[in-house]
Amino acid sequence: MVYSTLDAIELAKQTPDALVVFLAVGFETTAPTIAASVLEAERAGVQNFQVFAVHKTVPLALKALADSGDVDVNGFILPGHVSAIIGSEPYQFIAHEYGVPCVIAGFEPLDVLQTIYMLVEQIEKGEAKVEIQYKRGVMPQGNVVAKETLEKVFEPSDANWRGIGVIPGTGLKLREEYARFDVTRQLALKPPPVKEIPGCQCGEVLRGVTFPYECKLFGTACVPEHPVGPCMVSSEGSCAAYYRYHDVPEDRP
Amino acid sequence: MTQDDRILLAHGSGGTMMRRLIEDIFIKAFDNDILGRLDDAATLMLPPGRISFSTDTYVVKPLFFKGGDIGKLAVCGTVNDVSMTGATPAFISVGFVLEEGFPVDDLRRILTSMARAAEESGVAIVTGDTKVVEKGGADGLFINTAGIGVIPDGIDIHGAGCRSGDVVLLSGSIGDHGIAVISEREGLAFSTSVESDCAPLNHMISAMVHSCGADVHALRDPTRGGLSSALNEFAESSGVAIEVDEDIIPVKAQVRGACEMLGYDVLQVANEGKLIAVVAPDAVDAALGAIRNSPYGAEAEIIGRVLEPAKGSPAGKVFLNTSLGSRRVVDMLVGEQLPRIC
Repeated sequence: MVYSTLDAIELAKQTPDALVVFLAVGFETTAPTIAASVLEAERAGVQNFQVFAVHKTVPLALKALADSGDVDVNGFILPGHVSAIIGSEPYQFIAHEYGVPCVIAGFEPLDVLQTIYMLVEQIEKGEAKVEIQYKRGVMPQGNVVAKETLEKVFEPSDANWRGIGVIPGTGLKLREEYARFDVTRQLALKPPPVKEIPGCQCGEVLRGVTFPYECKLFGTACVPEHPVGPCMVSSEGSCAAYYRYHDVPEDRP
Repeated sequence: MTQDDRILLAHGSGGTMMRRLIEDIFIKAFDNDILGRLDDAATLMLPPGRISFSTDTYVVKPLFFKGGDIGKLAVCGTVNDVSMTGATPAFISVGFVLEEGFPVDDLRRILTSMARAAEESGVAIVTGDTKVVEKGGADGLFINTAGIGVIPDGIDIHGAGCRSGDVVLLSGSIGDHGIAVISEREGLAFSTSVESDCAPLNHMISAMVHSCGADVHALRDPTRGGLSSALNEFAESSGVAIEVDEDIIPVKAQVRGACEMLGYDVLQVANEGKLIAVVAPDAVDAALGAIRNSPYGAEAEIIGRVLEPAKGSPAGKVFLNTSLGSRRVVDMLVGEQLPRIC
């Protein structure tokens, strides 16, 4: 187990005969550290370090949600740590072009409560703007150094979202200059088409068209100990949260 | 660094090098007559009474962290486990798995710290074993300890002992150990000055059992899985519901901040020197007094109570009255705590 990308580079240095591939997951939050590791590998001349990048990015996924017509979104609660990197600018089009209020939220219960309050205020006033509730973590311009590092190494690509399909411009791939650090290009890997698990409704849950407990797998085949879809993973997955609290009668809508 | 400064495979071979390692390092550190006889087994005298017996294996990484190290942890952990039955721990055994190449100085440091913890808790390390595995066969050093103690007459403390109306006490702030260890791991982008709470709790428990006797119904040290796992085990074994108050549970500001950053639920973060005590309502003042008298219990609080199972509070469940005024289920930890990625 490595605790950071720099550990992976250290491992590569210690085992020059082996190819060390770092599986790079996460949103804009983690991508800058991957980008930094690629720059570090280049600087240190590490030849046997590569990255398998499966990052996802947020802003255009919101556009896809707004475009889908599945749900009439009244407001977006935007992710705090992603926004700590990218700032509030990348969301402006949601407010301006789609007229949907947006608030960048922290993760604690009070943060979410205040965020909902701020969204309701915007809706009441008939406004649509991007506000920051998570002021202790997010500046409007984001983290400039992290953003620059990310953009230096990565460029947008298409990404496949579980249960939703491909959303253009919501992935990241290494720029041509850094192709030698991209394991998919170096080994000409062709990942097979994504197989959806029959019955799993994570896509619908993610899009807000289905409540977690309406999914046939919820609480039967799909539980936190054996998650079938990503929504059942970690304390912050929406299905996991519903599962955790579903037998408190007053909590159920 | 010369050969003598590192553990070699020969140190575990049973020959002269092993003998020298044991005599020069282990016996010196753990100085007591029973161990000093170097027999295959220790012979012990215990006062009459029921025996409490427990074992645990320690694999923490990093080996040294703020507020402790694997050695202190290995002694305190087993002393505490034995004490959670109300027993007075008396003897412990220790088994080492050393990786070839492990620095002898680090081993000395760890043994010194074990000896200090044993002295503080009043237990003797009376038998032991050492194995050396080849490089890569273990990650530095693993330690197993087992301990025995005697339970005073009339004391019957176990996880199924909680009764409705009982009061839940906690000896101090939670999450310190887990956050201290994780913030020391290489490459994490934050550091804190939080120290592990690793400490022997046997004197605290003895004092409480002495003053409250059979009114102490259940004890647990909330190690892995944190407060939430310990309380859930109580609720399940005892067939009761338990509720605790978020506002009262002590959490250090730095621990709270680190948990927020990482997306951890502080109720699920590990502790190594905290006690949860479930006691009869009449014994609360005496129990709280005994805990607060200990150097490790000054911040003890009454954090909750045991409920009659009812609609909305079914048996086997733990509830948190949150700072916001809501009520939520407190679940056991499933798998590992996962940091936020969004």
